[in-house]
Amino acid sequence: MSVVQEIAKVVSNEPVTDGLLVIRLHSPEIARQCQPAQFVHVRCGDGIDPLLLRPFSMLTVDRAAGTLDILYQVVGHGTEILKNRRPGEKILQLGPLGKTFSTPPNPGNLLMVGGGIGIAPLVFLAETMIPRGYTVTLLAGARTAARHLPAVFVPPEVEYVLATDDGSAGYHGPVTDLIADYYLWSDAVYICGPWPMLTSIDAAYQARSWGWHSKKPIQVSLENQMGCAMGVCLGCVVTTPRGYQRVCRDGPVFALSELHQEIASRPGHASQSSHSVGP
Amino acid sequence: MPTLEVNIAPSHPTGLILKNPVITASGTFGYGTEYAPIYDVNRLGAIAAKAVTLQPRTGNPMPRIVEVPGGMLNAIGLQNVGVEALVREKAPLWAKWDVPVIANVAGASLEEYVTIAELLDGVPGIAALELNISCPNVAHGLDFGTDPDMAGALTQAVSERNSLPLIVKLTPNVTDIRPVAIAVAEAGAHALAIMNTLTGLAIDVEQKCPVLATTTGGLSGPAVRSIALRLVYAVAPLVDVPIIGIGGIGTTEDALMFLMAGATAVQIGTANFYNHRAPLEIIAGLQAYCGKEGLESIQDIVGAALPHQVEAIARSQREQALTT
Repeated sequence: MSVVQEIAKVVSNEPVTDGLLVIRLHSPEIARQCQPAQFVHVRCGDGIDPLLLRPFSMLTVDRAAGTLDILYQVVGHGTEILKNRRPGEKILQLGPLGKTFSTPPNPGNLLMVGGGIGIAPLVFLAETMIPRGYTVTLLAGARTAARHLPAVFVPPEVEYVLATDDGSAGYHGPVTDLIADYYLWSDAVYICGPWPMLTSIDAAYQARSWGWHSKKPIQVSLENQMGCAMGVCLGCVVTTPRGYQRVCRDGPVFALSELHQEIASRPGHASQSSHSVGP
Repeated sequence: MPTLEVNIAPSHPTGLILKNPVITASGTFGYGTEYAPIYDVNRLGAIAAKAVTLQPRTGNPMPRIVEVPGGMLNAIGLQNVGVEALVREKAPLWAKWDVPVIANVAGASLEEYVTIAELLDGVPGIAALELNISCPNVAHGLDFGTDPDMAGALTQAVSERNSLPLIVKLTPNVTDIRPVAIAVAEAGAHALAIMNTLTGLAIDVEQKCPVLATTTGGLSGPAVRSIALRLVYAVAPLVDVPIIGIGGIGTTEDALMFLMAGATAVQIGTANFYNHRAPLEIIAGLQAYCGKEGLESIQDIVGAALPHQVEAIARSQREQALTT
């Protein structure tokens, strides 16, 4: 597999809800190669402000059209600039980077749990797996209804279950409350979301809740602030039983069982997302 | 075709000839293997590998990096595989490459540096040593690179126990870099690399605490370029060994500035993070510059902006004006 530095062209860049945006980039070489949970490292601005690139995982790709879609929210300087990029403008990006999820060899039931924009790589995974005969339930948590990815972006075959902190859509409460209803049904579990969500999931996992089964893989796609995204600056490492692992290169997908120490070390900021980019 | 070839260790018996003066800086290019999926690393002048210590190191806790205007602070803490694994796992790969790999060496004591240097001597795949002397000397509490005597003694001790070309990478965190540069050059360094990062601090205003787990970190990126350039310019007239310029170089123009300030070669550091193909762009840019300026060799512009050179040019222009 090769990593490409590609000058992408902005096709569109629009809000899809109050607070969530999708930017579509024409970037044929990266679109051709990229897999769910892999990411691109994007120069949000035109020059060296901000200096470092920002990592984003893909929401979906259209390989025939050579485009990829990124779901994002404005969380800092980089995404503030990204928000103002207009169709036709050029954006330098590097990708595809990182590792994809591993999936059961035979069609089965996939449980996906997304928090906030952490839903993005899960939608891409669902899109990839449904044509291969897998069944997908996607549990999505957000603060309010307006922060949910509209269902039109999710493949119709997916059972898309919402939870909101304020009860404005779906289940009133943390999305993690819903896992117990689906865990036994599932053959594999995929997670991406903010640290407080991971804390809650890790607590349940450590307590062997949900009808816990040691052989059932639970994979988490993490994101961290990154420097190089190529595995050399060692600025994005997480603590695992194997020692420090680089989110950019050894991840972003990790087994939940490896992340206990890292999750325990994280402050429970509601604003921090395992998917959202740095400031 | 003009040549980009340079010898960065002419005072060493074999020298160290690079096909071009563009080197990737230690800590920004891993062990060279990581960037292989992006481009053919054999096109580089050389690769300075991630710093190696006697024992493997896990490095500092997180957060280790933070972006600041025009640059970044890092406090990785020398996370590396250790010298034994370097020799066993990395050097054999490098030996097959068509690009010299420079081992960057860090230690906590003079003895540690010397031990590492001995272990690296004669290892196929390692073309030169670069001493990172921006490390605290555990015995003295000061960084080796802040004291001319300590830096000189370290350079001499290593050069006596290792036959490879020896580059010493200086720290800018001193009042005056010149005495250190002179001491190191006189002690047997074949080249000086100027400069390492500048110590900086970032504070998280919401949390009311430093951003980095280790409080301070090394500032790099375009923000430090003019400082590095000043140091190269100040040292170049004082030493007979080549200088390798480092600090915020991201474009051909940046590289040219350093060459004109007296550097024989340049290292590309933080630019590897925000423009992953920057070294190749600079190599192509230097080639194009030579063509445009009608130079036979990129070395023809080394030191062009130094005072005696500028004076010489002015003199020859005056003479020319008088004769025509």
